[in-house]
Amino acid sequence: MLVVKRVVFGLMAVSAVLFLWMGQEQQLFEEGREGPLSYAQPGHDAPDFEAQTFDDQSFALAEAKGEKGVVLYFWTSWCPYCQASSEAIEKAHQEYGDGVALIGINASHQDRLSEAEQFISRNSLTFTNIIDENGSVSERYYVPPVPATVFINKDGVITYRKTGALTYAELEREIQALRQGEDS
Amino acid sequence: MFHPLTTWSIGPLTLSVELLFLLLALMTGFFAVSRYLKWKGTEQQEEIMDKMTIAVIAGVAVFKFWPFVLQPSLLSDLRNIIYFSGGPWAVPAAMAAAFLIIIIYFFRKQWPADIWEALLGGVLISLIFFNIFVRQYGAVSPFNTGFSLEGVTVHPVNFYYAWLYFLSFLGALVFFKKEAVTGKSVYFIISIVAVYLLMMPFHV
Repeated sequence: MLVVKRVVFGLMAVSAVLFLWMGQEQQLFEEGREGPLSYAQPGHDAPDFEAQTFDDQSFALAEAKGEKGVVLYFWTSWCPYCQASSEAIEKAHQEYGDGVALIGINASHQDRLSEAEQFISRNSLTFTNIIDENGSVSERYYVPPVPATVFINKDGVITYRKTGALTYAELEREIQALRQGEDS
Repeated sequence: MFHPLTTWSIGPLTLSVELLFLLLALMTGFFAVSRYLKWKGTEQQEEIMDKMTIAVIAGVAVFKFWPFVLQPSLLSDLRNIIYFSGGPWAVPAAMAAAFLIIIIYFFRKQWPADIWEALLGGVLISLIFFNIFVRQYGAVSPFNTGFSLEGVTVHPVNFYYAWLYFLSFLGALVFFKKEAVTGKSVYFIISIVAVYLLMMPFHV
């Protein structure tokens, strides 16, 4: 038993020293580096994309990112959860649209364009909606499942990601967090 | 090992890898608590596990219905009960509810202090299980080994966690006598905090 204790203690001591050393190396390494990598999870830079909106305008996330916080909301017309969330997104757009860009992204490769257009008019959605016809944007953001909502701060870093229906209270909290980050 | 954002779809149902392994980790932890209490020879083992099941169910229920606490107007359409769950503070609220139930039973039924040690050990086992199976990408690494993200090497944070939690658990088994209770619980808490502090530089 004494040998086992010594081996385990040795492993713990070596691991602690190793991780402390690696942490120090990491800090030195990060001093000369710029921002995080692009990846669709919180803490990483939001992957850039360009696409057409339903109004036939072009949209580039890279341009929107530097100005203010961005909320990307992935939806389809057949998804009942999206129906429920869209009302909250529209309300947030009316309330906070000046300070944060709320962008809907129709996962068009999983939907019919005519039904997506009907969904927008039926729900009176006034925020910008994008057509992701070949699914390249959805693929980069690991969608489906829908709805999926990604919150991006002014620096382009993802702060929060929610899969599933979103209430207005949750949306409001995350938008306010984005705006507080801008003020500080 | 699985990518956390991967989902599997069966017809209209979509299951995310992260959620699946979270549930499996919870079940593994639950099983570990049961085995641990049995190994310690705790008399009220069956009763404790029954009440812990109630605590888990209560926690899940709080998580599910939390949106209706924050926004009661959602109940005007009953379909919303299917659509919404979670939200701001839902996880802490669910954990607090489950913990409160365990605390109440602990005092009312005069459970032995063994349960805290078993619970913390179960948490550690759950964390090891989850981190073995679900990838967690860390900061860009100055070293050559790790996960590759967009052609760049990043720290395989989940591996680091799994290894450190495994060592912590091993330490509890090796350095403490079977009868030890308080010391082991304190050791578990200290080791979880220490692992978190050691891992801080590698997170994004």
